[in-house]
Amino acid sequence: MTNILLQIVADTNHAALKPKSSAPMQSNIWFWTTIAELAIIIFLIVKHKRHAKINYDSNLENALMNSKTANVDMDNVMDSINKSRDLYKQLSTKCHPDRFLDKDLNIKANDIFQEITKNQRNYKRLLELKETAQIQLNITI
Amino acid sequence: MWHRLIDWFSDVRERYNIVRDFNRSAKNSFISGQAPTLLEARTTVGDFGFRHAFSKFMAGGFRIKALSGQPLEKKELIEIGKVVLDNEELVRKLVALGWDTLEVHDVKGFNGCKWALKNYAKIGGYIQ
Repeated sequence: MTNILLQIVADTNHAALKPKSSAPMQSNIWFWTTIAELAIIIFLIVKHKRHAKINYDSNLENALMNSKTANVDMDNVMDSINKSRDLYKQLSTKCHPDRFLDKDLNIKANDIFQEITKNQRNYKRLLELKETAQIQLNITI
Repeated sequence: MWHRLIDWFSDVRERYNIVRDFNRSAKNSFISGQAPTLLEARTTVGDFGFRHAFSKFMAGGFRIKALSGQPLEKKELIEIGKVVLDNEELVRKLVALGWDTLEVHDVKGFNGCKWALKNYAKIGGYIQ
């Protein structure tokens, strides 16, 4: 009888001890969770303050916001990557101001040549300049 | 709060569109035989040294990678980068949409070139 009673007492003690042993572990998890949350909050506050410190010029911000929705011609970008180099070489040799002895033509060639140099990696613009050169300088390219 | 959410979603859409348009144009020029190398654009982590105020976290790199075809020389990699950087409209758009680094990579290995987009935006102001 006493054995049975002792057994019951031992079981209850064991049952009572069980939650006690897991309690520190649980509190440990909550502690680290709180620390992590705190770190995230501090990071966000610091980030927000750093962002607020930057004084944007309104023109700069407007320019950037407008450029978000600007249409960029990707086909032109691809053509510029693949073809603009050859076209630039061709145009720069054909439209070089030194090739034109006539004063008027020389001035026109100078303007066109400057434009060609400025847009040497813009295929679309180079094609337009090619047409202009053919008309204004009376040359065949 | 609400307009911020809308802006965020529209930015995500624009970023997706710009990469998609580039890849479509690259594919078309490769198929038509105009380009000797197939290029592909993708978003990468980017260089933390090139970050600016509008940079997207962990997605600031705009990488153009040669996928197949003729391997590119270093001169050609630089030329591709310069074509993109000379296009002010495109650079501004990339900066506004959160990209900070332009990377151009060859078919093999990790060799490539990279540029800080904020140096080429030319928007009449300084971006931190």
